[in-house]
Amino acid sequence: MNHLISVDRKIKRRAVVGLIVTFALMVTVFFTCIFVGSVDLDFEIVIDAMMGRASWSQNYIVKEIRIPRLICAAIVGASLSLSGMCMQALFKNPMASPSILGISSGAAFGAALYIAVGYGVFQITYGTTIFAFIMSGITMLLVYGLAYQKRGTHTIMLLLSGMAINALFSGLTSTIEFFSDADTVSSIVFWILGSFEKCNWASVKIIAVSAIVGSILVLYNSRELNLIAGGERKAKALGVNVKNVRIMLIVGTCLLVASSVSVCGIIGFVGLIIPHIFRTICGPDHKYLGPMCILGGALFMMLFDTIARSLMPPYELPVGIITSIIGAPFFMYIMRKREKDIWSV
Amino acid sequence: MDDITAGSALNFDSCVTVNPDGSLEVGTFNSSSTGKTGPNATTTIDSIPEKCVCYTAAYVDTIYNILCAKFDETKNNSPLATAKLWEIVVGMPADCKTALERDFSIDVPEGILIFDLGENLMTYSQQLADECGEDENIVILMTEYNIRSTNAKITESTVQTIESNTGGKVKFVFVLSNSLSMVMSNTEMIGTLLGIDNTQDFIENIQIKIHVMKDAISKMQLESKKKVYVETAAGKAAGSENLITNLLTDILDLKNIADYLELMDSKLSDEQIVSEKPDIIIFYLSDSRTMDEKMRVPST
Repeated sequence: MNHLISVDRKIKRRAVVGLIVTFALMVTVFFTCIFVGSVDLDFEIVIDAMMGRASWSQNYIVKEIRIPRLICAAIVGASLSLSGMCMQALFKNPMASPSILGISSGAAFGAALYIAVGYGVFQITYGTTIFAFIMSGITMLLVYGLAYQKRGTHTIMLLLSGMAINALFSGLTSTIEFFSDADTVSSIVFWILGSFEKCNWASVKIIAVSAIVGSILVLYNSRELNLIAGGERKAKALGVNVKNVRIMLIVGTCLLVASSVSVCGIIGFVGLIIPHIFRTICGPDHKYLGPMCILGGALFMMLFDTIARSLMPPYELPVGIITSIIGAPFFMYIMRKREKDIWSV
Repeated sequence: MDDITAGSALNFDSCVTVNPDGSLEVGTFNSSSTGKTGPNATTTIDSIPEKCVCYTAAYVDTIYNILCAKFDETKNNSPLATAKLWEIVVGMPADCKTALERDFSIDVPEGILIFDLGENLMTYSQQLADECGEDENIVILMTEYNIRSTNAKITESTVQTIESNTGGKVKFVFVLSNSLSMVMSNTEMIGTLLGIDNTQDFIENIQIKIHVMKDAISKMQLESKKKVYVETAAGKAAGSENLITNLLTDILDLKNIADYLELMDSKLSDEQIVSEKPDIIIFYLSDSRTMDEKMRVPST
């Protein structure tokens, strides 16, 4: 008994230290990344620009491009990793990620639809984002509707519905690409590859609200998520209203994913790898893992985006490419090194 | 024209030759899609076609402008030029018709064959050939962009098969207009190819106008060249070797900030665009960014 209490204290201590260190790293990375970009700006110039004392173009680069872009990257990183954590626990599947419910594919289809035909008809500002967001919502309803049974909605049915809808929307997006001209295909592909290039203060406002609401829904249910991850029957026996909690978690996840994908396209791997990396630090308790995923996701995404925009100047690579190229080997390394820790306390 | 010095005149290479027997040798920029990549490929046309299918609205507008000059008419009041135009142009894709009516204010009359870009070119070409009279033939003016933007999968063998199946009545000419001199060259080619007799006068008139414009700009004696940033339809930077930036740099003497990029599919970061401080930004309207975002200014 004493041994268990000692292990629990040890994990708590590791989690708290991990949270403090990750937060400090995140703040450091945020301020460091402001100095990095495809245009070289001296340290003093960046400081002056932050105070609004540099030239117009320097002020613009720092205050209107770099800072909102970093904030966007942080919010998207936090949202994707938190939703990945939630999916992995909810579906009791370590390979689960935000794309598993087909929400990313639905959003991509919405964006492709707007780029290919929507602009000619509607011509609305932020049409791509709005279409992507609406399609995320429709996808969510479709997946839940397909999985719904009179006896209740089974987790496996949700998973299978998500996979089917994912395949459907991927196919529809490919169909749009097939019938589109070269410029349209280029725009769709660039959007699908995922990039923060078009992020500005308006994007920050768009994603902040749904990211906050989604995060609250997930974090509020972290205790219930712990119990559901241990088995739905067990959770029911311990008094958890599994049906309601699951709906709240799925709505929260959809808000997190939809807002992210609608602003920056599809960014793979973050939702999968970040929860696993931080699970090795603070264990599987979602009370700690949730905040850790938020801070860690933000930290990693800011780093990935900075690498993407400074690796091959004057070009900025889509961040989705970087997350996949760096993320996959890094994930494999962590898997091999911490094999035993990932799903055990 | 004689007053213009050789150096200041806009020179161009002719890409059409009329042989003594009435046949024409036309330089055709057959695209990589058709297997021929060089601008030196030539197509022999037995006699002046007098009828054409235009895959791009700009070609119709070119023919219309030459005809307006021929009949000494203005675009607002051009009964003779319009009548002749629709004798020459017998078909076009649906999006070309839309562009003509929307962007060039040229109404396409009923009776002109309108087809979808992806429609089977072989069937369509045979239909055109069947409609030609005994001594008539027809030329299809196309660009590489037209081929890329269709699913027609036009290859060199497709072109040869169509030309052979139609007994030489249908001929393809692939046009490339990456610079002002190429536009002049193609204008001369289109006019000559279609037998419009005042084409040379029309071109000389344009050369004079361009000379006057360039001369006026050189006399302005600006301290430094104005900078321009041109964005393509896909939101990418237009580098050198394309028509729009060449027109701006050749005629208006502007400096393209993306001039060191050779292709039209290169992306400049917003940071670089802003740091270059372009005086002029040219962009397509066909995306959902706000005007502030396109102009790279803080949202108001």
